[in-house]
Amino acid sequence: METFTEIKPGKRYVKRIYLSVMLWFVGRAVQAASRVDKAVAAEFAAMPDNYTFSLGAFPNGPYMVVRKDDTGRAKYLGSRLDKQPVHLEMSLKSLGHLFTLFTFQESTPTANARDRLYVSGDVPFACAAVRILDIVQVYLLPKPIARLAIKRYPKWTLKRHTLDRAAVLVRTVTGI
Amino acid sequence: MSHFSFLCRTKLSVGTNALEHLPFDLSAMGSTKPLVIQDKAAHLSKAAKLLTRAFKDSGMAIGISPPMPEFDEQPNALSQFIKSAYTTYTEKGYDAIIALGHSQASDMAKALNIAVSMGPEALKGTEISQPLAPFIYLPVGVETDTAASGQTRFNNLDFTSDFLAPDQVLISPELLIADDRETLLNTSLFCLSLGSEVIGLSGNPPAMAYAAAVIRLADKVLEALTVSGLNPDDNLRKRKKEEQEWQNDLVQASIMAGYLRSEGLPALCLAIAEQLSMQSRLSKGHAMLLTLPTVLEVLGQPGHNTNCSPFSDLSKLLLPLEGPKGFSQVPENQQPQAAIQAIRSRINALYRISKGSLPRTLEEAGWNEATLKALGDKLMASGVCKGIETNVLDIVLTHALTGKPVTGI
Repeated sequence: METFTEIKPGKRYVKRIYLSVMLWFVGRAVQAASRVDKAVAAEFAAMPDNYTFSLGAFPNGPYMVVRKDDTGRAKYLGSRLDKQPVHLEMSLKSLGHLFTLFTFQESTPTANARDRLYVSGDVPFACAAVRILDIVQVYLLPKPIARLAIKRYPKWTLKRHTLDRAAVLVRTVTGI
Repeated sequence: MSHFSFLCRTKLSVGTNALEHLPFDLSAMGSTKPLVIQDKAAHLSKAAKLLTRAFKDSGMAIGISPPMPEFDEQPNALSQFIKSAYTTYTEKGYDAIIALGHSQASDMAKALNIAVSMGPEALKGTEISQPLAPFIYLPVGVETDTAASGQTRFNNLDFTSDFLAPDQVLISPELLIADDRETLLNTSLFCLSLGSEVIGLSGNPPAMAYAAAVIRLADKVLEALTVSGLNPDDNLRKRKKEEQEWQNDLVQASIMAGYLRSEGLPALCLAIAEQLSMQSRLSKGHAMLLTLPTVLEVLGQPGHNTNCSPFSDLSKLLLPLEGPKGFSQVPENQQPQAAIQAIRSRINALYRISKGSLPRTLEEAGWNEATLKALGDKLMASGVCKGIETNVLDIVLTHALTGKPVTGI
């Protein structure tokens, strides 16, 4: 008779690296959008000062952590959850689900409807954070890909599509 | 107001990527180290490999059992297996059980759960009155039988408790192994019959809601099978695709049918069919379908003196069987008869597509009055027909023998 075996499943290094890069990029883009886009700034204005939220995968990340600073703007704080208190944790239930989300095989509302996302913190601010992420994805992604990532592609002004988008992209890369 | 109660403590997760939820759901139950019990079918299909992949990056270790012995192998094999599973579970610090396979894997996992939660002595027969260790069931086909219910059988002993039901059933399409059309047909008939009996006779609204879903899924497959045939000459690729879709629907129906197998719900068709299938070549699902019209006609009569009939309403059965269009075309007073006629027309359609090899009555299946009388006596003596009088069972069996409708409804 064969015996019982114990297996320690490994890690998905390629997916983890891809997601770390994507979350870094999106985190910096949130910071940039809060300085350029009025709608994003308004969402942050409704949050308390020093409010911190994160997005990542259960149980070991990767994560992105964003805080609203004293001046009302967003600041990307990196990928470590343990460096500061986090008021709102939004996590996908596995790294695979986060990968599905960030490879745009599933939109955020679809992932939510399929019970992949869970929130620890205030639900109204979680909704605000999802709206911010939707706007940021429209800034970052070409229209055909952005349509896969969000529920409905927004009708924006030409300025928002061109000048604001360029400003967000430049600020995301330079980090200012 | 009539009294009813219904408990379903099993969470059902279905669909692509459903396996990825497993580490999170286990950790929500307080588990960090599950032990997987798998049967031979799961072992041969390497289902445990897919399962292990879902645990990557979870930080959890998982134990994998060797394939469990079949029930008809040497008598001590199952006892040896559970002893070794118990020793592994307790010595290596496992804290949850995952059953991977058909209903036999689930039965074994339930028995192991009793042993690890209440001590091995409990397997000699005891009342299960406390919550057991977290238990998750992953089906690999449509033959789930009692897997999702609070029942199990080990060493010729029956165990029944709500605590035995799985905490979660997770249906992942990538784990499913192709079932043949005969198995799909048998499962769809089983689900259709069980669901119809619950809707027609239980008067239990939550159970009826599950039963309606079971009937809808099973009847969809039965209808497709009736159109496509049992042995079509289509190209293999088309056949496989069709069968895969039916399997996805049926495995859900089969799991939900497991929710309906609880003490308070009617299951006379099932009790009769189990004996019929044991003593003849009839499959359980088909035997249930053959007895269903007469069971509904006899027990569904208003004022019938049984546990379930005061609440029975056969008219409610017509909607899931015929859909809103068919239901709305039948006057209210004719709905009970129309529902039973809908079941009879399915029996006749099966006879047609099988070119006469699937019988329409028990007589065509080789039974006669004497053998059915003996079967009825055996059923009454075994106590599985609770609340059913001998003469009522006789009427049911007599009319199922010839297929002659019972008048008076």
